[in-house]
This record gives sequence, structure tokens and C-alpha cells, in this order.
Amino acid sequence: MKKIALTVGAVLALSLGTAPLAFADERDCTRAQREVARVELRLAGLVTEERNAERAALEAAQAALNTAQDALRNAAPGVDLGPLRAQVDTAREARDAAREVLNTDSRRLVDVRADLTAAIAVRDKACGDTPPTTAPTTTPAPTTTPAPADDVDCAEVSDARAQQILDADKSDPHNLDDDNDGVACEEDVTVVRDRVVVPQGGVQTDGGVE
Amino acid sequence: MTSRKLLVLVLGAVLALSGCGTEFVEGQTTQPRPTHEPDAELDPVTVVNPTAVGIPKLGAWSTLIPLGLTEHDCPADTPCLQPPPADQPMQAGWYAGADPRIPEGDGDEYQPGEPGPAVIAGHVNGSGGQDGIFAKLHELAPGDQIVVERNDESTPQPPLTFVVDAVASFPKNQFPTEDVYGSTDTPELRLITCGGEFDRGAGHYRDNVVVWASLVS
Repeated sequence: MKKIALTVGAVLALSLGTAPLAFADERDCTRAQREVARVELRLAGLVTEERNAERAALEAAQAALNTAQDALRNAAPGVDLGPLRAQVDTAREARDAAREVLNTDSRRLVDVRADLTAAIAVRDKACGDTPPTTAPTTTPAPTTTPAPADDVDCAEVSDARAQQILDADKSDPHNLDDDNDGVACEEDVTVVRDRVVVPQGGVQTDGGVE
Repeated sequence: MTSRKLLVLVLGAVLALSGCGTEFVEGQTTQPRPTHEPDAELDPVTVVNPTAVGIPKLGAWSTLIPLGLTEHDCPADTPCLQPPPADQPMQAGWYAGADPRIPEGDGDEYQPGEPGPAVIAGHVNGSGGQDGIFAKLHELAPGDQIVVERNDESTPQPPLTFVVDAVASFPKNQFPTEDVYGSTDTPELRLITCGGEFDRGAGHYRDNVVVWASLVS
């Protein structure tokens, strides 16, 4: 076992190509790079087809609810409204569930982006001016270089890259953060938000006594 | 879906099918509404805050205070309409947005007279057991009039007259949120109070009585 460990250590040292004195710093830098890559992978997992599917599911559920509500409103006099209301209730439950799924992921997205920003800060501190010597994964190591002179569009860059560009220049020259909440290229859930009405549910308009 | 939600759903279906609690008292539902595309395309009207509501048939009249949202004591686990003070049950209020301190509104409220559902809430009774401003709200019927007075510091604004379209009662846990607060293409009004049986466990009346009305002049 010891031999294997030594071999691994040698390979690691060789792969890093470092002078012995700089080894500890390089190790910190590599660890920080790996952390960045790990968070990037988490981020990538949240912004793939799965989210698109969630959004599509929500829109479908909303459409079903609209249809059920229209059916209830347009019911002919004398028609038993009970089943129609039950359909509306069922559709609303489905819509709320779909919205919660999307909202949960949206909140997670914000959290992971914050994690990424933190990881990048740690990496930059650990690596200093030393350029990365090893790419921790096939994912290109992100940088915090300022945005290029050319305009950046959300459709053209990954969300992670957009967040880096925004973090590098909070003045947001590329208008990546429409609502100025610090999160770049957020999902456009306006369609859903328009349908969300507040308040929700009933009202306690009694004195609390019989 | 949690088992609790499922239970609520099943109960809701049973209640709806058995006709308990959720049947319209009389009249029909409000006129068909667009599936969406709210106010953005509509011409803005002179919008001023409402100052008072009157219901001639019930002999009820109250000034209006702005109401916001609350998370306290809501029937569901979601922010609900803030009721007027329970120790002033003759005081009605109107939903003036999630944060009523923002004079220009924050976008999810409708002043009476503008396209959309303005919402006025009043108590059925007070914390001392005395009648509230909307104690007899369930007695309203289609065709009855509701008057909303408005005030604009610069220009006198005539009162608005709404006519009742429908009156219905719902268990608070099956409140028709979208039907009450959902956008409409014409000026409408909702009046809300409590009704039904008193639930001693919850410390509140079980139902909400809702009045749907449309602007006529």
C-alpha cells in the first residue's frame, strides 16, 4: 500500500511539474480549481434540458388550468358545477406542483451560482498569478477576466460564463442582469409570473369568535 | 405531491361533488374572462384610490383603509390578504398591493374602476363578537348595487356603481384564488368576508363569502 501511495504521489508531483518548495501552494491551487470545476458541474446539471422540460411542464399545466377555468366560467346554467370545479382544483394542484419544481430549481440555481462565485474567489486567491498548470476536468478553467469589448448575449454564453462576466464588472455593460439582483441571465419566467396572483387563498375576516 | 396535499385534493373533490360549501348561492359565474393578456394592452383609466364602500341594500357603509399581504394566521401556507383590524369590525379595507405603503402600487392590485378585480374585504364580526361591516354580505344577490367612492385631490371623481354578478361561499382551504384575484378585461369588484360554521379548532369561521360584481357606471 505504501508503494502505491508513493507512486501516486510521484505521479501527482510530476503531473504538476512543480518545484518542491512551491508544491503546497500548487496543491491548494489545484484543489481550488477542482472545487470550481465541481461547482461548475453542479451548475451545468441545473441548466440543461431538465429545466426546459420543467418549464414546458409548467406551461402545459397552466394551459390545462386555464382551460378548466374557462370551462367552469362558461358552463351553461343548470349544469352541475361540482365536477368542473373539481377539475379546476386538480389542475391548479398540478400547476402549483409544477411551479414549485421550477421555483425550487431556480432557488438552487441562485445558490449554486453563489457557490461558484465563492469558489472562483478562493481559487484566484490560492493560485495567485500562477496560471493553471493542470485543467482539473475537460471543462475549461473559468477566468474572471473582464468582459470582452464585444457585446455578450445570454444566448451566446453559458450561464456560468455570464455570471463570471457580470461578477467581473458589476456595472453590467452587457445588460446580463435585467433585474439587477446580481444573477446573470436568469430564466425568463415572466409568463408564469404574470399568472401568479397574490394574495393566495382565503381571508380571515372574522373576529376569531363565534 | 405530498400526502397532505393529496388529502386536501380528495376532500375538495368530495366536497365539490357532494355540493357542500362550494355551490354558488345564486346567480351565475362572472362573465367569461380572457385566459390572460391583462392590462398592458388596455387604455389606462383615471385611477384613484377608493375611499369608501357602500351597499345600499344592507345599509352598510365604511371608509376604506389600504390592506396588504400578511403571512400571519392565513388559511393556507401562503401569504394571504391582510384583514382589517379585528377590533374595528365596521372598518372595511381594499387590497392596495403587497406593500400598501407604496402609493403608486406595486403592480398586483387594482383600484376600483380600472380593468381588473378590485378587492374589498370586511369582517363578518369583531373580536368582541359584534357584527362586522359585512355581516350580511351573504344576503346580496345578483343585481344588487355596490357603490365605491373615490377621491382625487385635484379632480373630483364621481362614485362608481357596481352590480353584483354572483355570490358564493367557499371553504377557506378551497378559496378560488384565481377567480377572485385573477385579472379581468373590465373593471370588476370583489367583496370578501367570512361565513359558514365557526371552526372552534381553527378559531375562525370555516368559509369565505365572495361577491363578484361588475362596474356599470
